[in-house]
Amino acid sequence: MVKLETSSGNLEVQSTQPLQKVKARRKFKISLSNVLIGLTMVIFATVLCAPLITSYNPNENDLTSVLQAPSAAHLMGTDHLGRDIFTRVLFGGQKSLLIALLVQGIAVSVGALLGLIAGYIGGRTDKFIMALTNIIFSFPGILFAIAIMAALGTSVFNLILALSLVSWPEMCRLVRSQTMALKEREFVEGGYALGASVYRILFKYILPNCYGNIVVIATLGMAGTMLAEASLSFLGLGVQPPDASWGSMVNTGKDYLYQAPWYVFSPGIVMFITILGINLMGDKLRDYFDPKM
Amino acid sequence: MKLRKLSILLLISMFTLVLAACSGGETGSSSKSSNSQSTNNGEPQSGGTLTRAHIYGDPQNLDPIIRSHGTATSMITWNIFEPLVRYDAEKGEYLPGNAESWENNEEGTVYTFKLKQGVKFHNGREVKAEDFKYSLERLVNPENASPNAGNLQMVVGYEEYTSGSASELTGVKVVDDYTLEITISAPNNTFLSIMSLPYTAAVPKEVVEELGDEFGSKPVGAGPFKFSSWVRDSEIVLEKYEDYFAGAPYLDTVVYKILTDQAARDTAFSSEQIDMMILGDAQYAQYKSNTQYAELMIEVPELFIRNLRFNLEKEGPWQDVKVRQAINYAIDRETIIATVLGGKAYPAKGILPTSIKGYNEEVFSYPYDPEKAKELLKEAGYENGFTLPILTTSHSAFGVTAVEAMSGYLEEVGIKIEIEQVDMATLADRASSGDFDTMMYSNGGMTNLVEFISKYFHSDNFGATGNTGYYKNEEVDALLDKALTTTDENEMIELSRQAEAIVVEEAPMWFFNYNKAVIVHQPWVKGLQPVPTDIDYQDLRKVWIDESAKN
Amino acid sequence: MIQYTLKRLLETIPIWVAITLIVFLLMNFIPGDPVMQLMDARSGAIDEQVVEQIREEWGLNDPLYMQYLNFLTNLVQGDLGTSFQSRMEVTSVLLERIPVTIQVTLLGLFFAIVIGVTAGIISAMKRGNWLDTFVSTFSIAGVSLPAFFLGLLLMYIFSVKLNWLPASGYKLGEVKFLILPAITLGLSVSGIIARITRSSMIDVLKMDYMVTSYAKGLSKYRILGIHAMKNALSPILTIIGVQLGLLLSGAVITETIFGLPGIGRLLIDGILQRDIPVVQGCVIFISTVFLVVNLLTDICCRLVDPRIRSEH
Repeated sequence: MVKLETSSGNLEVQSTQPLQKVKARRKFKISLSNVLIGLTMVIFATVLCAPLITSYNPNENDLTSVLQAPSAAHLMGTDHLGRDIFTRVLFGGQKSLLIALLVQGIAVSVGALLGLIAGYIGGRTDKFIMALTNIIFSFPGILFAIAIMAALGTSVFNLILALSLVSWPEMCRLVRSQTMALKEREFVEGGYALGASVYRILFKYILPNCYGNIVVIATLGMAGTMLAEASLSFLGLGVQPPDASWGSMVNTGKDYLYQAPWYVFSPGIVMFITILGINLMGDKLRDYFDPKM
Repeated sequence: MKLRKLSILLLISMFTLVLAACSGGETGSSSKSSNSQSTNNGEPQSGGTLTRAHIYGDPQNLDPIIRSHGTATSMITWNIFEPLVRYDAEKGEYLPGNAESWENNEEGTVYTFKLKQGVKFHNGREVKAEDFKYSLERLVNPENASPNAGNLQMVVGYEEYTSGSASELTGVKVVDDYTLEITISAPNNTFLSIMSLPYTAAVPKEVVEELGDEFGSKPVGAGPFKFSSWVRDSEIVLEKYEDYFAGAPYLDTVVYKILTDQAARDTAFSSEQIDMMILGDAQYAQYKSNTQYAELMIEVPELFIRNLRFNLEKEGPWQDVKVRQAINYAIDRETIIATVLGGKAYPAKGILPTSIKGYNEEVFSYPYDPEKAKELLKEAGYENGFTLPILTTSHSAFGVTAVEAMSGYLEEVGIKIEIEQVDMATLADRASSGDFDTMMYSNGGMTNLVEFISKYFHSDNFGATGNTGYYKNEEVDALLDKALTTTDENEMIELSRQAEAIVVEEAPMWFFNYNKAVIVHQPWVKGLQPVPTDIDYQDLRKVWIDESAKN
Repeated sequence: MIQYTLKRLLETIPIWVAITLIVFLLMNFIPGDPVMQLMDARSGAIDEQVVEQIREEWGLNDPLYMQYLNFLTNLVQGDLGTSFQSRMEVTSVLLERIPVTIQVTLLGLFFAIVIGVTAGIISAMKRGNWLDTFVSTFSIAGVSLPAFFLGLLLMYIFSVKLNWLPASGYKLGEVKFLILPAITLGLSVSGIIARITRSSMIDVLKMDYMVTSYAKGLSKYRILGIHAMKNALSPILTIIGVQLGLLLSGAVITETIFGLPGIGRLLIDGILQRDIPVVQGCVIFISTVFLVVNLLTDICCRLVDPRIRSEH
């Protein structure tokens, strides 16, 4: 068991050195993914500065100009109530992004923490936590959402609660399975032998090795959350009208797919690019976080 | 190695995909004949298949007594079962069905139906008066838990039979094989309309008893089409009944394709996989402006009124009649209909839709007059406005879209709107228990105007029964009671009109619009009718396929 | 292994009971009376007396715990009750729908695995290369696209324009009805599988023993196929297990768009119409499949990666 010491020494080297190497190696290139990430940044910025950019009121009807095609006056056309879609996309983006970020934030913290605990401690704790995830997984998420919203009332806070509740188990299971694999590895056993605390082992040895997959799942989860919000708004349980979110706009717009394709495409494409950009950022972050690269 | 295997797998799967894709193309693209004739031209031909879109989701059960009388089931069951009378909604009169004639006694309480001889169930047995007695008793028997049972409350002996103290429904008497006598406790102008619905049609006892619960999956009746097959949530197929007493229908086969998604229906229609479909609000303008389809559309004002109902049990500014009138003046319903609903509705005048028999053209209609609205609000003491909570659903015509559209107009007179959106089930529940302030919904479907008005404005019908807004006016009650029991049709219409005028004046709702129901069909579908009760209630005995228009 | 399987099976029973209890409570908690849903609300033809009669007839007036106990007793006897809406035995309703959903889900999963694993391996091997960028971007694009959008797009291309595949409908044994829904369903999942495959493969490729294998002079494909794949399989299997559950519930949208008579639609209609027995039946089915798949995943993981075995 002399070997242990050396392998744990290896770990320390592994987890710090290559990081700088990656940073040094990376040069900024104009690639497809960088362009998309840039675009997403622009979208973020525009959404945040919405009131400065547009002069329309997102919730004001103009029944004299419904479903108008994109023009100089209405960059993305108008919706079925004559509201400026561009303006609604900007204001709706604030809601969508806020909801998605908060939901994933909750999912990552709760999911990763429980996953670490379940994977590391094992035994009864593991079984209990896995049972919880099983219950939520094998449950139609929409039923949960309906019940929560019906019981507590429709509000953005309750929406976040409902969506978080169904988002954490996937994170939890993934972190658990990685923890289970990692804790058998030499460097973790080494850390243990060196007398590292459980806290240190979990958060300094194991968790950093999960960052890659956490980022992957969390970014993918953003997409899922945005879409789930859309399907809830179909049942009237999403963001409440007259306010919009990208999801609810896509959902209303799809009825006008043939007649006014810009209605569904505008929020749809912005949402698509944003999710794509977030996913690509996730990729970069993964490279950055992963100590073994 | 693994990689190579995987790439082979990928290749194979793509290959199968292409193969399957090719074999799938059975419906060759056909060039349409340019002559889009009007619907009823030419001599009807026998044969062919009509594939129609069923937009309401799976009908669940085709036993006529199990489901309430709604479009999802009735558009099918009306073709399988033969009620005593059939209602011709275009002409507004009752025509013979299984009964060739009927008469009502002096007091209006006893109906005697003469059944047609030689009417046969699809299993070949003749329909006799005894079958109707069996079927009506089956309808009201509490064990069958029929949601329609209450509609026979007017029949003598209903209480005794349902409570179990009598072994038969005494009001229904079999005089002889072809004579049926039904006694009701008091004259009632809605009785015949109930006898025209599928749930009062005869079902064959021996088949019901043999199949048990399965009867709803393999229904047998005496109507023009017999049940053939059913793939749940996908399609239902009916076949021509050759021995139909009034002569076999033209169509060989009727296929109901269950398509709940609007975009999916558009796709199916443009690829000619369905022959006809009902149009949604968002689609109407688009089809209307398409020259290919413009002449292949049938439109009718449906017997429904979309409205914003005020709950008069709840405290709020709407307790003041002036406020309710002000809201009716404040909103430009014409513009909302023309723009937001794409012209797919008729502006509401009074309560009654234009297509109901006895419709009053002279009824008062609130014009768009925001000044008058402000004036009334001022008189009521609300010149600084108030907040109006509205309960609604995601429905495109009488849901959140309409509420959002009206909100702009109300804001102009100082009324702010607070939307609460729920799903249909919750709305129905809260509507019937009075748990709302105001509610956007659509009401109607009745063909008789007294029945229509009483359901929603008679104080006997508070709550779930129909008067969800708890509107009460003794004068209206008295007029309606009289109209309901009179045997003179003109008097019935006159009394109803008086009642309607009072209700409109007191504005217990915002009168929004009557649905313009629209069917679009392929050029080869002939004989479709503008049915105001619900345009999907097509009398398929009249429909035929012009094969020559297909090529 | 058999003992382990049995033990795991026994452990799923309490989860199962918990699920049915939660569904039961939720369905009773949501506003919307099931009997009211039978009535024709639009024409308001509702008779309170009849409503009360039906409620009595179906035992909905019993106290909640009685209702739940009755449900459990029947369940043990294999009886899921009768649908409020269709008055059919829930078991027979389910039996009609299950094959459709299983076919679509498996076909979708097949597409997802084939596309996802291939793409993941290619981009892990050609890391940094244009092929990697392309595959990554493509797989990410697949996940970022809303399912109904993708469905309509496919429908538009393959049904309306090319007329190759039917837009909607279903016939037993005819694959052509299932292809578009399965692709719609599979594509979003393939992205996730591709990314997990890629990241796991990269992890494994960087391990000491992989470096050793290279040093030993083993062929690239041999290393990749046997060593790398075997070690990367555990997270991939986990994610496939999780995704199968999501696929099942994700079937709702595809089933609606393509007019497929599956469990997803049955469940949504059941919830919207407050048809408690049907909702219970669907959830029991979905949860059973999920629990079984999980069990299988775990067993597979243990077979593939012996290190996990030592821990139990």
